[in-house]
Amino acid sequence: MEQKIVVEVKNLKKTFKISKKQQKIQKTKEKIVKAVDGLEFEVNKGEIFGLLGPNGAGKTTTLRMLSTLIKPDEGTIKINGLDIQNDSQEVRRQIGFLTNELKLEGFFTPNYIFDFFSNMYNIDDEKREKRKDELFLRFGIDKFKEVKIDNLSTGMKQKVSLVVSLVHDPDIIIFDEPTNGLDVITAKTVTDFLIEQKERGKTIILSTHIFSLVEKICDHVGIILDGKMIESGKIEDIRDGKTLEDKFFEIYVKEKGMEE
Amino acid sequence: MNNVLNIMKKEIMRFVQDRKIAFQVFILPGLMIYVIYSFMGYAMKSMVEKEKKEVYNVEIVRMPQNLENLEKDKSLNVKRIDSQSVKSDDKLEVIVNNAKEKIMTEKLDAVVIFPENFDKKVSEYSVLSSKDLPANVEIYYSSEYNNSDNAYGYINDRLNDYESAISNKFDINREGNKLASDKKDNDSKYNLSENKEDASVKKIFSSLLPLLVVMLVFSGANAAATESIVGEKERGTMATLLVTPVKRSSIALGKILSLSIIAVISGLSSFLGIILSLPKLMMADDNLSFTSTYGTKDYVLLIIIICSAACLFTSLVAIVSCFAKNVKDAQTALAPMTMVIAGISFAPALFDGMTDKLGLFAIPILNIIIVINKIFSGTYRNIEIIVTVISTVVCVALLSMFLGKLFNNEKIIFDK
Repeated sequence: MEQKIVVEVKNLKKTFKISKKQQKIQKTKEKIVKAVDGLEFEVNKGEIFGLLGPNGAGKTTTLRMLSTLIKPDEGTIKINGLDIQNDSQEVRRQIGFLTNELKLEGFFTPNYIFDFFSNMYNIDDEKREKRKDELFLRFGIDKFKEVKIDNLSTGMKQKVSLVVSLVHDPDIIIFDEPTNGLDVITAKTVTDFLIEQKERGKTIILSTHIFSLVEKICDHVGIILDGKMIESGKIEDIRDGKTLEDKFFEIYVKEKGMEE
Repeated sequence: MNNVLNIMKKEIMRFVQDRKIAFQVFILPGLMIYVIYSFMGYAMKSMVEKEKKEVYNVEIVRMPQNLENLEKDKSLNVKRIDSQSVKSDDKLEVIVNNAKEKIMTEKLDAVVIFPENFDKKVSEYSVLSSKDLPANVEIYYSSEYNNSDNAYGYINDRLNDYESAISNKFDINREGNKLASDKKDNDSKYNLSENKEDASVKKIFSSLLPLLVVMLVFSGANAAATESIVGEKERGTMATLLVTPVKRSSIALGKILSLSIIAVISGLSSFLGIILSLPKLMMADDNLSFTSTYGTKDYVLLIIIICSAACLFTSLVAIVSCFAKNVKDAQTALAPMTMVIAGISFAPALFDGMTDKLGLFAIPILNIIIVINKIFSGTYRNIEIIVTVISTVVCVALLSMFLGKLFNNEKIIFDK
C-alpha cells in the first residue's frame, strides 16, 4: 500500500551568525555557523519519525523551521503539500509544536491558558471543554488547573506546555525533546500518549538523544551530525542487527574520526 | 478580529488580575501625584500663612513724618528712635551697633535708618535736575534668619510703594486698582473677555497640563509596552504566541490596542491625581477648579486625544522594545525618546502664532501636544481635532503593520 508523504524536507540549509564571544568559546574564526546543511527526509502519514543526534547537531533548528518559527536559508519544507514559507499560517494550523524554548505566561492558570490558545485556533466552546477535560485528566493537570503556572512544578509546567500545543488536535505533532527533564512516570505518560496518537493516525516528528525512546516508539529515524543527515531509514535497517546506541556511536566515530 | 480581541483580553487580564501590577500601573501613579502635590501645596500654604501672620520687630531711626503710618502697620512692631537721640554720629553708631547685636541674637529683625530731613530731601530731589545722589535709607538685617530676611523684604516693599506713590505720573485702569475687593467688578470694565475667570484658569491649565498629560500617557505606554513586548520575548512566551495560526499583524494590533487601553487608564489615573491635587498645589481658592472650567465636550475631546496619544506612544514603544534584548535594554533605548517627547511638549510656545495652520496638525506627536494645549485653553477648532485623530490613526496603523513585520523577523524575535 502506498503511503502518503505528509512532511517533505529537501536540501534544507540554515546558517547563523556567531558573535565574537562565541567565536572565542568555539575557538573558530568563522563568523557563520552551519546549523543545518542540506538536510533531506520524508515522513509518512501515521508514522513516528525520530531525529537523533548529539547537542548542537541541528535537530532543534530543523524542528523550528518545520514549525515556521524560523525560515530556511535554502531548500524547501512541505507539510501536507503546503510550503512552510508561502502557507505558513495554514501550516501552523495543522501542526502542534513543543519545544523548551516555548514558554507559557506564569501568571495564568492552565485552565485560562488552554482556553486562550483554543480561541487562537477558533475552536468552539463545546469541543474545547471536551478536549480540555480529556487532556487535563490524561496528564493529571485537572487538580492543578486553577493554580498559576508559576506555582507548578517543572514537570507539571512541561505537561501543561505539551497539552497547550495540542489544543487543536493537530494532524502533525512536532516535539523537541519531549521527555527531557521529566521523571520516569511522566515520561512514560508522554510516550504512551504519542503511541496512542500514532494509532489515531497522527504523524509525529520528535527530536531526542534518548536511544531507548527512539527504539520504543519510532518507525523511522534520521541521525544528524553537524547539520547533515548521516543515516535515515527504518529503525531495523539502521540498526543492522546492533542496538541503536551501538550503531549510533559507530556512525559517530566514523564521521568524526574519533576512536571509541 | 476575534483573535485581536482574544489577545487584547489576555493582555488586559495580565495587568488587571495581577494585584501588584494593577496597583503599580493603575492606582500608584495617581495616588503618588495626589499625595506629593497635596503635601507640597499644604507645605507652601503653611509657609505663606506663617509669613502673613508674622509681626516683625523693627527699630526705625529718624522716622519721617510721611512714613509714620508704618507704626500702624499690623505686621510691624516699631520702636522709634527720634532725631534727638542720634544727634551726634557717635550716638548713632552706638544705637546701630546695639541694634546689629540684637539682630544677630534674633531679638530684633531689622533696623531702618533714615537720613536727616528725609521728607525734605525727597521732596526737593529731582531725577533730572539734582546733582546730588538721592536720599539713602539704610536697612540692617540678617539673611541668616528667616524673620529678619522677611522683615527686610517687607520693609523694602513698603518703601518701594511709597517711592512709587510720590513719583506717580500716571495710572493704569485706575478704577480697577482702587479697592482690591472691587477688583472683579472693575476688571469687567476693561477686560472684554466674556468668561474672565474661566479664561485665566484655562490659561493656567493650558500652560501646566499638556506636558504633564503627554508625559504621563507616555510613561504608562512605556511601562506596559516594554513589559508586554520585550518582556514576553525575554520570557519565551512570545514564540508560543507566534507558533499559532494567528496573523502576526493581528498579534501586533491586539497588543497595541490592549496596551493603549492600559496606558490610557494609567495616564488617567495620574491625570486624576493632578486635577484633584492642583488646587492644593497652587494654594488656590475654589475658582481654580478643573471640573467647573471645562464642559462635557472638552472632556470627550480630551479623552479622544489621550486615547490617540496612548495608541501612538504604545506603537512607538512596542517597536523600540522589539529591537531590545531585555526590558533593561528597552528602557535605556527609550530614554532619548522620553526626552524628545518632553522637548516637543514645549512646541506650543515655539509655534506661537502658527498654531492655526492646519498642516501642523498632520504631524504626529506635535499635533497631539498642540491640540491638548488648545483644548485646555479653549481655543481649538473641530477640524484641528479631526486632522489630529486621522493623522494619528494612520500612523498607528502603519506602525502596527511594521510591528507585525518585526514579529516575522526571526533575528529580532529570537535575539536574546
